[in-house]
Amino acid sequence: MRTTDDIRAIFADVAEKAPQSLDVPSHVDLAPPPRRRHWRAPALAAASVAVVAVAALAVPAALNRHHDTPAGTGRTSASPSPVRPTAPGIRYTGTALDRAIVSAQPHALVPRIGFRVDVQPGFQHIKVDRITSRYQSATIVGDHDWAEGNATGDQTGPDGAIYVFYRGAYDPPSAAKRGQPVSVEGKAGYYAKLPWMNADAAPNAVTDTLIWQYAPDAWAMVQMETPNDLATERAFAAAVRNADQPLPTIFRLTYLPAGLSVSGLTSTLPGDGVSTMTPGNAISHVIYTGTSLLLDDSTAATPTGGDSLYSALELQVMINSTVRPGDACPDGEADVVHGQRICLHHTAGGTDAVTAPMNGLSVTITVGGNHRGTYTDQQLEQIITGLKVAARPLDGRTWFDASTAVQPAR
Amino acid sequence: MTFDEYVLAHERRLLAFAMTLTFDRRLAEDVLQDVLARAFVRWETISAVEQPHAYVRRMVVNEYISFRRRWARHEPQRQPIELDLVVDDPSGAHADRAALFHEMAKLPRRQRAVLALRFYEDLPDTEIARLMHCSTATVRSYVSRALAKLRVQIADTERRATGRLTPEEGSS
Repeated sequence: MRTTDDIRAIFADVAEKAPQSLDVPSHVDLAPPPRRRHWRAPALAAASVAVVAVAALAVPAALNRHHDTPAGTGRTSASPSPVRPTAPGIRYTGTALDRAIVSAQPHALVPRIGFRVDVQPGFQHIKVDRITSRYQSATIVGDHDWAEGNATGDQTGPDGAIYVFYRGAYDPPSAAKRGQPVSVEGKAGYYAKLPWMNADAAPNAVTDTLIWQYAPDAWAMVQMETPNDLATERAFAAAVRNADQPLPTIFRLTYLPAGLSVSGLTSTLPGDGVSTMTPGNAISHVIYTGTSLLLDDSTAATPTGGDSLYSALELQVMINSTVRPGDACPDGEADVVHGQRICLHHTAGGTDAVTAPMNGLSVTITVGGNHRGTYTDQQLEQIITGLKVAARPLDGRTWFDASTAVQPAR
Repeated sequence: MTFDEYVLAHERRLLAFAMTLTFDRRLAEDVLQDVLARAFVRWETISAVEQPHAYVRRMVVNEYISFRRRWARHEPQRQPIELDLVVDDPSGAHADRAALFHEMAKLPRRQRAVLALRFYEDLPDTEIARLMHCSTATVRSYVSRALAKLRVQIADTERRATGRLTPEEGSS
């Protein structure tokens, strides 16, 4: 018979397996936290600050130096007016979701927001923040968590997510069809235990999931953190509406090597993140502000379950930290391309990260295992030097339109 | 206590706790690094609270529970762990404890977090509830669901020590 003593023993054993200390990622800059008064550099600062935290132990002297982030370059953003996508077969008419983001060409990234969700009691913060070649998804944050994040500056977890798959991009697994039949606004669906779409979840973990067929061969899904809450999931499902909005991105891509394309995009505007700026707490505002692109030369999608885009094997571009030019390459190989300082980090399998300071930010390309050694350092450098960063990164009005920002001409 | 002093004193303990949440070395490191990043920036505030470690531990739980998908965090390769199980009866008990380990790894994060807080950190339900931003009834519900799913009974020693209920009793 299993008892809680077994659980204690397992936890104790797991704890014993913990690393003795934190490793400092070699490809992230060592930078002190920016002072709010001089704050110019936004976007996903957690990575660099994390290293700051560790570096505080190893190199305290470095933390006592004061550095200013470089000023913006004064670039102006592109595409002040939205450009409609050119992907074939997109329907934006009608008020129901059945004509929302159904694509006649599955697995093609449509860099425009195709749906929205009416606010629900207790959940005023619902944002479509991820677009992939299979689906678009919205993060749900409860009012309580939102308020908690604002009050403490601490991260609080979103309470759920809504996924709207393109036509043909999702085939309900048999587990779904064995679930409870339900109806969402007259559309047939199932309530069943299905794998988390969120890749942070434990491997093979399942959760109570509502899926419904909003159009022929086109499915949508709601997954909430709270288990066994069909009523809430059904309410969110019924609140999904058609939309057609541009997706802002903090940088624009101007070059990709042949064969490489954008397969995923996540973008969070300043103020849309879980945490927001509070007096004396500048950093939390920007932890979840920014853009990440996933690049892939194979758009084959996992047909069911799991979020295949969250793969460490992919190649991605992201803005992830503040940076000062003098600290940009503590452990890598420094290079200068067209006056742009670049830092390359190598592993036995090839270059695994490329970073560059840009407009007060650090832009990073991480090269996953599937791509390591595939692209030359020169190509990676050209990707990064070809990026254009919004003139005022903390001002979402200066961000680019994803419709043009992630489809570089070759 | 300075931030440096705090990290030096608690880093190993925090990493162990993060491991009980994530069951993954790299993810545990990532979670803790992100938490310490924010703690470093706000250390003046955190160090002034009554129990800075409790505050940071709460940040770790929040970080783990959050399912915001952060591509910036993902690791080159996961480092799943294997248990070194020492039990009296290596035939059946070893296999079952290994099975239990894998079932625990599949628990929803909130449930596993509650189990870790109760059975690793030994926190009372009231403290877990405060830390998880929920009621004690919700905590008991999480524990009850998790234990029922794992088919685990409250150990007699613990029942005597705490008066806690079995899953069946707790859910009734």
